Order: sequence, then structure tokens, then C-alpha cells
Amino acid sequence: MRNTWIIARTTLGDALRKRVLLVFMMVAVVTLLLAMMLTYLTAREQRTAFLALELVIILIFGTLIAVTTAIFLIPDEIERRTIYSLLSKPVQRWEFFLGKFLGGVLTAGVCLALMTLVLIVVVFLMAMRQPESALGPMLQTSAEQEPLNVAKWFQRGGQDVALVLRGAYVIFFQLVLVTAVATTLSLFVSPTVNFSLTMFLFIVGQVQFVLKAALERNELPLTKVVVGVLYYLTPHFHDFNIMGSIIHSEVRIPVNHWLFAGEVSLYGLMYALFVAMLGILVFDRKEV
Amino acid sequence: MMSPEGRRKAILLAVALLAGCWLLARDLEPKHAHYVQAQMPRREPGQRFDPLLQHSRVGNVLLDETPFHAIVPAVLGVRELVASLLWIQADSLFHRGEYGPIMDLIYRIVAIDPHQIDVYATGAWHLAYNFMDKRMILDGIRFLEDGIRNNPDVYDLYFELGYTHQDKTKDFLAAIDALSQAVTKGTSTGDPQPPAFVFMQLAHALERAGHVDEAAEQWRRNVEVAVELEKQHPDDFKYDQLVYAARHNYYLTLRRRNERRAAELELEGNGAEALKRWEDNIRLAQEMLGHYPGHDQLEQDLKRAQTEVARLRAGKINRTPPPETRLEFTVRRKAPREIEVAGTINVPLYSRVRVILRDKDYERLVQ
Repeated sequence: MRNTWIIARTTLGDALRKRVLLVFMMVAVVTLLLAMMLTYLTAREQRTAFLALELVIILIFGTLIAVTTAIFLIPDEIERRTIYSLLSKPVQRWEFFLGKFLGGVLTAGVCLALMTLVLIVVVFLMAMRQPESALGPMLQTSAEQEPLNVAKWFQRGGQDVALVLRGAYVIFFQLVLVTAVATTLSLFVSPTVNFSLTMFLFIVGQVQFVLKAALERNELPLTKVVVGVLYYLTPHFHDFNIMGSIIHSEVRIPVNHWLFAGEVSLYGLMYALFVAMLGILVFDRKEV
Repeated sequence: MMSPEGRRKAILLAVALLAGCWLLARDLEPKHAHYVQAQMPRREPGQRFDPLLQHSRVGNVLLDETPFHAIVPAVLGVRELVASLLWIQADSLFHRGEYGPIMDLIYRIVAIDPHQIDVYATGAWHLAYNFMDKRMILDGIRFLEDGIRNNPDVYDLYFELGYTHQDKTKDFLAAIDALSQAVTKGTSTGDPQPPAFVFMQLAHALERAGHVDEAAEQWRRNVEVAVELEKQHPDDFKYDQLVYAARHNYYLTLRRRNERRAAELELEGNGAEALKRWEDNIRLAQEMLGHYPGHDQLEQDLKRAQTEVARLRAGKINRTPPPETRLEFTVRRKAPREIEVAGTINVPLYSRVRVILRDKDYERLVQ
């Protein structure tokens, strides 16, 4: 595993040198600007709009970073012929593949962590504004005029930070899964095709419930088979979508949120390992 | 290269992982359905958004229950984002004075994301207040009721509904219903209790509905709520004022109840019972003066109660009946679309009299 870890670390360093961080910086600046632009809304409207926007931005940018990193991980090594010098050393092929995959996961994880950090800071600062009723100004109870209650601010801020962390935790395992898919597909297809295929699988995974409905209600045997294969084999990215419960945390759902997050992350991890295992098996026999 | 044994193990591991994924996915599906269900608008039984979807065989529950214009954000899992962006657009339209498309936009927003509490509150406010059309007040009420169906666990929309009933429809019983619910709900930020003004509003609604005993009881509870809040925020002057307002209103309600009851008792010739009421008012005023010594109005109230007690103890009972209002008026058509209502009413100077002119079949028309 030592070899795997060294390859993973090197991959992370390479990826970060490719200025992936610039994307993060851009997102961070946009995030802060957006937060400032939405202050004309009430505190609750601002929080809702901001969280909805930022969680989607983090998911989309995180996915793009994960995919664009993973699709080049192995093809670049082959193209630059550095893979030969690596494999001539006492490094197993599975160690190389796993190291590359872990490097991709680390890259996505670091970017996600930085984006989440910015989001946490902004969300915590936003919690300073006290929520008020829409009729508040009419009833002369405008929360804006009240002195800052630090204990309440920290309470609200702490709740929101916990929510953001839960969202980021679940998004991370989506990125692990996306990285596994893109790394494995990179053994078969060119980076451009790989990008399209991975994004296709990601989108199909997001609309799994449509496939399920089509599967349940379709009467044509051929389409039923096609849809069935797609439904059962493609990763269920849809299950990772818990944004509603983070943005509207006041809505009661009869599910233990952290338990669900744990279970869905286990699913993501297991599916990613399955896909990576396929990649290891293919790469083991692949002519490079 | 892996050994054949290693390869066999890897294949077995892959198969085991796939099986594990499949089992987990089956377990996750019903749990995730709760998350999806929570994002969808709740309707009355049989009520659908879009008649086109009523007999549709497309999709599962999510698609059946989702209005057509909400399908894309629902499918892409970005309901909240799309709703928020539309809300920002609606807000801009309002501030530009373009009121026409706002309500259409607002109905769309809550169909996409039914948990936008401020959109419900603001939409209902536009309908009941801003569009200056009394026929729309009931639309605002219905909109708030829809919002409550979708957000039953927080106080906000119950309060808005209660306030709108109290201020606009003057249906105080409906206001009491809504506000009684509001005081039992928490806030969207997790506070188990709504803000103090919700409790105060309920007491006002009870008063205006003529439920004086219940109003007094509510004011007593409001004093408890306010005192508790003051203890929690000893340095915040606002809560000091809140305690004062609650105590003052509690006192006023009890004082007025005693005065009216005493007047009734005197009219019946029961001076002894009337005396007890005025003595009670002395006690109330003294108690309040204990909290707020030197308060002008309280001093005057005390003096008046003492005078009444002295009069009643002297055996002087006032059996003068309350004045007749003797409302008399004539209606005259002055010109097309113009009528004049003129008359007299025997009430004290500066009394407030509310006159409502309605079509004969108004109730049917507003339905």
C-alpha cells in the first residue's frame, strides 16, 4: 500500500499544479459576491437562495474537477511514457491504478474541502442576520433593528455549518464514485469520449426515478430490458440528492439524516470500489 | 500482473461489492423517497396542479404530483435553486413596479419548491393588501392555507393567516384558530417557541372576537412568556418593554372586564357584587403600581376605583341603562354609481364606527 500512497500523493501534487485551484478561487470569489448581492432579501430568503445556489455550484464544479482530473490520470502517463519507468520498478499494476484513483479522489476532496470551507465561513457570517417575519416591519418587530445576540448567532451558525458539512460529506462520495467511473473508463476510451460518457452516467444517475417509473410502467419488452439494465447497473446518483433537507432544514422527514448520509456514503464507496476493481482487473491485462 | 489466485479473489470481491451495492440501493430507495416526498407540494385529496397530468400515465408519484413547469427542476434535483432564482426575479419585478406577472411567478415558485415560506407570505400579502382589490383577499387567504399545508411545522404562515383574518377579513374566529396553532409551533431556525408577538396577537384576536375571559387568560400566559424571555435576556431592553406591554394589557383586560360586569350588576341592582368588582380593580391597580410606581394612568385608575368603591359603600347604586345607539340613516342615489348614506348615531364623540356596504349577494360572489 506504500506504493499506492506515494502514487496518490504524486498524482494530487500534479493535479494541483494544473491550476485546478484557480477554479476553486473563482468559485470562492463568486460565492462571496453572491452572498453580498443577496442582502436585499430577508435573512431567510437570502439563506435559502444562497444555500441552494452554492450547493449546486459545489456539486457541479466538484464533479467537473473530479471528471477532468480522472480522465487524464492514466492516459497522460501512457502518452508521456512515464508509465514504463513506473511499472519497471517494483510497483504492481493494481497499485498503480489504485494510486491514480486515490490521487483523483484526493484532488476532488481537497477542492471540495476548500469550497466547503468558503461556504461554511459565508454561511456562518450570514447567520448573523436574524430571521424575521414577512410582516415584521408592519408590526414593528423588524429583526434588523435588534442588537446582535451572539449566542443566537452561534447557535444558528452552528446549525447551518452542520448542515453544510452533511451536504459536503454526501457530495464527496458522489465525487469518489464519479472519479472511479472516469478512471476506469479512461482505460477504454479517449479523454473526450470519457468525459461525455462519465457525464452521461452522472446525469442518468440523477434521474434514476424516471428510469424506475419507466421500468414499472413500460409494457414493451425490449425497452423494459434496456431500461432495466440501465437502472440496475448505473450508479444511483439520485440517492445522493439531499439538498432539499439541507436548504429547508425545518421540514420534518422521518429519516435519521446522518444515518442516511452514512448509508448513502457507504453505497458510494462500495460502488466506487466495485468500479475500481473492474478497472484493476482490466488494467492488469492491458497492453500499454 | 496478478496471479490467477489474486485475480479470482479480485473478481469475487467485485461481485460481492456489486451485490452489496444492489442491497444498499434497495434499502436506500424507500428512505430517499421521504426526501423526494418532502420536496413535493402537498395538496388536498384529489387536487392536482395540472389537469393535463391528471390522467397521465407518465412517471411515478413524483411525476404525477409535480406540475408541468416544475418537472425540469424536479428531475434535475435543483428545485430549490430554480425557485430561489425565480423569487429573485419576482422581487425585482415588484421593485420595478411590474405587478402583472408577479403572482403567476409566485404560484410557479411554490409549485416548484413548496417550502419557500417567505414566498407564500409575500404572495398572500400582495393579494390581500397590495393589489387593492378586496376580491383578492380571499385568494390571499387560500394561498396561505396552501402554504400551511406544505409547511405545517413552523409558526410563520399560521401567524400570517391569523393576522390577515384579523386585519382584513375581520373573521376573528378564524384568526383565533390560526393564531392558536401558531403559538404551538417553532421557528424555521429550530427555536421551539415562536416570537413573542405571536402570543400577543392571539390575545388581541381573542379580545376582538369578544372572548374576554380567554383573552385575559392568554394575556396572563403572555406575561409568563415575556417574563421568561426577560430572564433569558436581562440586558435587552426590548424584553423589558415586552413584559410591560403584556402586564399592561393583562391589567387593562381585567380592569375593563370588572368595570363592565360592575355596570351590569348595578343595573340589576346588585350593589354588593358590583362593589367586589371595583375592589378587585383597586387590587389590580395597586399590584401594577407595585411594578410601575408613579405610573399616571394607573394612579388615575386607582383613584377612580376608590371613588366607585366609596360610592357603592355609601349605598348609591347607579341604575341608569346604557344609552341607546339609535342608529338612523337614509340612503340616497345622488348620481350614477354614487350613493349618499346620511344619518345619526348616539355614541360618544370620537367613537369609531365601521360601515360596510356590500352587494346583496356578496357572500355568494366572493365564493
